[in-house]
Amino acid sequence: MKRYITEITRLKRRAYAELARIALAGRLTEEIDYLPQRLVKDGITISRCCEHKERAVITDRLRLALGFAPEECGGERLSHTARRALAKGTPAGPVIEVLGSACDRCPIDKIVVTNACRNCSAHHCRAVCPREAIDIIAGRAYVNQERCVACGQCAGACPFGAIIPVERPCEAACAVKAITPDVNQRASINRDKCTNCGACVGACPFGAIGDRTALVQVAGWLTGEADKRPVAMLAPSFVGQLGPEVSPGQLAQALIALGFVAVSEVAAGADLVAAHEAEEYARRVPQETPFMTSSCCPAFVHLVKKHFPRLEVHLSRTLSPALALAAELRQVQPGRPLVFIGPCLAKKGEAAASGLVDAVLTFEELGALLVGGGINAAAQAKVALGNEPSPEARGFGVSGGVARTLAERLGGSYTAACASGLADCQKKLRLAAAGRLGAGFLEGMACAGGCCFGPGVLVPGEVSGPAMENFAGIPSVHRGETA
Amino acid sequence: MEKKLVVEVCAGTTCHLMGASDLLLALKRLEPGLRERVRISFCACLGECSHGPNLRVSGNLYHRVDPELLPLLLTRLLDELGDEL
Repeated sequence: MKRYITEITRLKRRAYAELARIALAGRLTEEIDYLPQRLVKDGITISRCCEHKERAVITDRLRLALGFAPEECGGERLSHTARRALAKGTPAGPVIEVLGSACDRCPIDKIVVTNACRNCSAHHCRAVCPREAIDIIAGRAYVNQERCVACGQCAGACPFGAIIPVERPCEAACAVKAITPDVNQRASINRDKCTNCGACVGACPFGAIGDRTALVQVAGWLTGEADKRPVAMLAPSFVGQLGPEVSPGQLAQALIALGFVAVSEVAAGADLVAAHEAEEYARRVPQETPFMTSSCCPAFVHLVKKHFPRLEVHLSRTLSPALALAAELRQVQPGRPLVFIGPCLAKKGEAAASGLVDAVLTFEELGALLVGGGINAAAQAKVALGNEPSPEARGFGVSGGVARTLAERLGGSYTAACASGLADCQKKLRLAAAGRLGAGFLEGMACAGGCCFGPGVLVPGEVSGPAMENFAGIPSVHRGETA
Repeated sequence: MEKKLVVEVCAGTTCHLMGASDLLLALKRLEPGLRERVRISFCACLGECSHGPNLRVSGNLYHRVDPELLPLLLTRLLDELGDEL
């Protein structure tokens, strides 16, 4: 059985929950220096060489959770970093960072001969190699890495299957090739290419890639002055994130118990976006441009801007649902911090760049805050959510959701193509660049399957996707929930 | 009708973060012979949050349950309980 939650994930969540607990209790700077020790109790480590290494990794993870890359901390105590975090406000800088202490510097050789090599007489591996890169040394085939072009033909030719292609998991996960080994073979992120999609974070089996969090800042708002308590903005994919037994109303109630003054569904912003984007489409396509792309997925927007700059003119100028809702909430809830809660890491970058959203939490980080605050969502009373968004808007987080919504508004000559996953987005953008998209609207989502498959989720998209669509499809049930 | 083994999954937020959804998935994927002898239910909290994910099977608490060992545990319990169910 494929496990969704690994020991690495568990340890990370424990670390976040402990961080949230001390931050919510107002004891962040007093206690944070003890967390690595506390989290690796009794010298038990499952995934590293020894407890000291595990503590070093946890320390770096906590630094990132405080909003600082380990390199920005120069070995200072966590309490110092925590003070800086509280003084500085929500994290700045790149969203995704490599934890150097955790990176195992996986081999960079792409083709590896294993012990199964029998040094047979035929040497098919040598025969098929177009670059004469296979040498037979000491009774075994070796790959001359200087000549090897990693075509993989030798792997296919070996009758023992003794030659295998190996790829670093982070590199394999990155569709835009933004991760490469640095001079020390550690993973390094090229910021000019990275789209903040977060695929590498989940792909690294050493848990060596993470993202900056705003946990302590949000904890500060939640426990701070009453007129500065934050407003929660729940991404459409929130349904079922705290388990099948926690209803949307209960989740909202848990947020209120945590200290949020109000809870809004970002789907309400999606309704604004749909109206605006439909109007934009009718005005621009095909008169001004042959096609237009969606703009709600920030990783997709990065992909267009960084990798297809000539297509940037085709990006919809409509704000993303999160930003559209935030702009509206600014009027209704002046002076209150707005916290977007969703499955997405790229939203952290979008929020910081826009200045409209004050902080972004992933569902995982929200879970840690709830645990740290001692709030059990499953034990909450059921209440109704405000601003009732349309069913289509509530389905925005599944691949095809945006395109479908526009179809209902436009009809007629509207045609749409949906790209699901960063690699598919690249493919469709290449077609578009060549004038062969074959549709007037391109919906791009960096996570294959849509937002409910994002890197910051708590349940697999296969489970939450249907839950979200179910919730969207029968809003009457939801409206029936009353306080 | 044959009585079923009642397996209560803790739906509490802490257990959820520690992998209760994996347990639920494992329960739903039990081989048919075993699955039909088990009834899945939920409870809001089993009061052992620091040892999650937790299960309660016929009144007994199980901590840090490994989804891969779950079929084994349930088979053993069904054998042990036998007629007492």
